[in-house]
Amino acid sequence: MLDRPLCVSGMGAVSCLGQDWPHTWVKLLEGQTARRRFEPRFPSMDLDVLVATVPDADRKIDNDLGCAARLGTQALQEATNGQLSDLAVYAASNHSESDIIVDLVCAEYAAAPSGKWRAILVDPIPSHISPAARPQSWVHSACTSGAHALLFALNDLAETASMNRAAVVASDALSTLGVLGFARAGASTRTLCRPFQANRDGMIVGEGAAAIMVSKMTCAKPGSVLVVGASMSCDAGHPTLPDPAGHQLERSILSAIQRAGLDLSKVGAVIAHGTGTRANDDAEANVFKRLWPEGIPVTSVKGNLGHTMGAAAIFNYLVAVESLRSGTLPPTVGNGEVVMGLDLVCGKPRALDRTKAIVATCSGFGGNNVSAVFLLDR
Amino acid sequence: MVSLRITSARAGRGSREESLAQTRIRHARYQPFSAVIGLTCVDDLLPASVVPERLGVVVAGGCHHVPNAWRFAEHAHTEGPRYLNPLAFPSILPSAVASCIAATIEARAFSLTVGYDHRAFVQAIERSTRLIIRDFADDVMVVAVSDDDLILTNAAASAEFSLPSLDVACVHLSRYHLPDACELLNFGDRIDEWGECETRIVDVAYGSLSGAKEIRAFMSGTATCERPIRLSFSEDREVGLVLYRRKQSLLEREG
Repeated sequence: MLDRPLCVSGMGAVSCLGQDWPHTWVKLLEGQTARRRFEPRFPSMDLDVLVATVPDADRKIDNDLGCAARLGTQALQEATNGQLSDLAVYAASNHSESDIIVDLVCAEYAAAPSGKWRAILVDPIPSHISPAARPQSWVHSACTSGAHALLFALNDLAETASMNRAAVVASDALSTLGVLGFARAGASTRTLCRPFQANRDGMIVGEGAAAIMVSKMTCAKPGSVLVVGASMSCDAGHPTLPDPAGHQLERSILSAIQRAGLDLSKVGAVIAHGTGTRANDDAEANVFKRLWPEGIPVTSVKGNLGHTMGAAAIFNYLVAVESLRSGTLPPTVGNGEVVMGLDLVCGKPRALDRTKAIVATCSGFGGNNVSAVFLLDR
Repeated sequence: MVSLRITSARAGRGSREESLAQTRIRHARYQPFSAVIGLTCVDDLLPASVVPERLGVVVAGGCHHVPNAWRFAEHAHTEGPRYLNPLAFPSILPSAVASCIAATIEARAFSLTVGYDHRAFVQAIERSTRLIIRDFADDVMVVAVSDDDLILTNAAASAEFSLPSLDVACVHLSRYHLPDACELLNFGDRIDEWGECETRIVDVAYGSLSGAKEIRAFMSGTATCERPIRLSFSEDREVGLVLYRRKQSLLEREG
């Protein structure tokens, strides 16, 4: 187990479903989605794909300040209630403000302000994420970025006596390059993202920011949700595809449960990465069936939120925390035939055994896998 | 406490094609060139007996991915999205260098990219050390690299930055005894607890490679070091390292 259990003391989010975490959570329970057709940045970009974007997001790239930093700041403010003094901030992103590159490519180079050029040489998000709390740790690991940032925060809290709380914020704005890349890789759906269902045909590229604050137990209130373990692994194989058998994902889940001081029978549900792509969902389903052959409730929010890239793991963690608090798992979008007989939470929310832990998983390009274990303090 | 050793190289001009032809990175032409030259330094230090599940890769964050992202965007803009090569897609991410190196050396503990400015290399060493201490790995290869690609050179000129050169450094950190290594005694921001050290201020002109020169100079020194050295930054003291060259008291690797 972590040397000292850490409790979740704040959450914040900006998503396609809401400008804060409570609104996002309510809409997740209702099974809502918010997808729209991608608007091309330049005329030659004739793509017919869906995206899930934050309504009314300020997409202006003002010198080196972009949408991802604005979303991240908003989520961090909500999670910390604006109390940023003496707070260790860990920040993460999948692709940073990559549309600055698109802007420069499309624009007259000579007319571009020097701030934009600086922004492609020195990542601009950390300087803008919050004027009051410059991140002390900044990590990129594709779609597991947020998960690694939380793992770092947990370990630093456990090791550092003088450190009492930390906030993790992960944010990504819609990336033009990401939309193009996933479309060309054949990973984007044109209809609906249906994780773990036989008729699934891909993901929806999304955007958003999610933040979570963790504190040492001296700050905990009765009924708090604890983070009791986290671990990681790397497939070290294909640049984009997961290991079909999911051996390293399995290792990260088992290691996280072991570090939590639990065993597989003490886990009551899984918040899966569940992107809706054939490769990811098959790999995850293989692992869940091996680890829990009798079945375990599994859900994914990618059909609702889209794939929020670097923020995806933190969204999963917020769902795990809120599920334990409320005793309810949100449903996965779609009502198709479920792959491999998985016990997928579908159609409507499902009651949860709150005496058991929830495992939240995340995987990303490059083969990283991170798993975290959450438990209600009873 | 972990042991640390470093290697670094300044790649010669005109060697890109040669490097691409020689590398064991798969689909190297579609990967960031920083991964290709980063791997050469990693290969110099990588022990034969390392266990893949206990080996991690941490890259000092920087702009390694920008040339690939730029060309991907340019291609989409001029030719249209249908002509984009999906193989080139993952290389546009800031995490691409770490992923590429980890896949090539089969590092199955983790592949991470840490930091974003001149402190990135020292932060990557610090993070890697913490991950070894917390038993997430036995060995970590920490890579810092800078590329003199034309796109980065033009960007640096437009931003009024110093022009980049093609440089790479790799630190091997291990919980085991390493030949010709020094000990990493301490790290982080608790400078008052570091005891008596000789301070060396890191020259921050090297971007994400800042600190590599100082570590290499310390490790290649011939004089016996009576005292540990502390590497720190001139403008702030948020992070730093304490290195000590002495007979190590670490475990011998089995097998």
